[in-house]
Amino acid sequence: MWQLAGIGLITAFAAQVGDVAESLFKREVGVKDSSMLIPGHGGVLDRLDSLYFVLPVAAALLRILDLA
Amino acid sequence: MSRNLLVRIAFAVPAIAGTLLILSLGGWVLAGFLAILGVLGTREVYDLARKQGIEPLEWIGFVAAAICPLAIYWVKGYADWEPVLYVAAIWLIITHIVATARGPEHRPLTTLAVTVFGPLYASALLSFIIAIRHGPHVDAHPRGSVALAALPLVIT
Repeated sequence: MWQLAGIGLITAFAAQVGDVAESLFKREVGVKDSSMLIPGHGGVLDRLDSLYFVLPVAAALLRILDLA
Repeated sequence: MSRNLLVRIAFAVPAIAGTLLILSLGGWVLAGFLAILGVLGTREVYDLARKQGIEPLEWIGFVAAAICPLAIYWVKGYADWEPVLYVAAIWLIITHIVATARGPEHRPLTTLAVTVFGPLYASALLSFIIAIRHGPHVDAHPRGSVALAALPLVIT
């Protein structure tokens, strides 16, 4: 249980970093959304920015802990 | 309840259901879905670059973004990783040649950097979900593998 809690904490942090990283891209360009592809949600990057950082981190942690 | 919130919910509910279904199906269905998302994400990275006057090599990048999750699943399930490495190296060489052949006025280094970054960021990183969904315990715990793959989505 503590392993999953640890994974949750670390991946939550990674999610925030991913979100900020993509926001910096958009700020550099001067746009609010990466596109208007997804109604009400912006673009694919806007929706998946956290996952780009979370998935490799989660995969690595799960592999290290031999959970996946 | 505002109209924007209704639109968000109207899209999110079937999207979440569809995503969970695709995760449970796994395999080539998941890889194909990730290929589509990868291409769409790469296109947005290129659009952001274009707003700064950088012209990425779109179709070369889209091909890489589409192939990446498919190749990763292929290696995971069926084959050795070496052919994929060679294909990736050839892709990089071709991208380099095309970028430099356009001449120095087209900023080949910047073009190459953005062209390579797009599929790596928007497709390759997303493909790690294949490693979670189809990890070494998938045969012993198929539903557990789906749950573990859904965990990062729930957290974010």
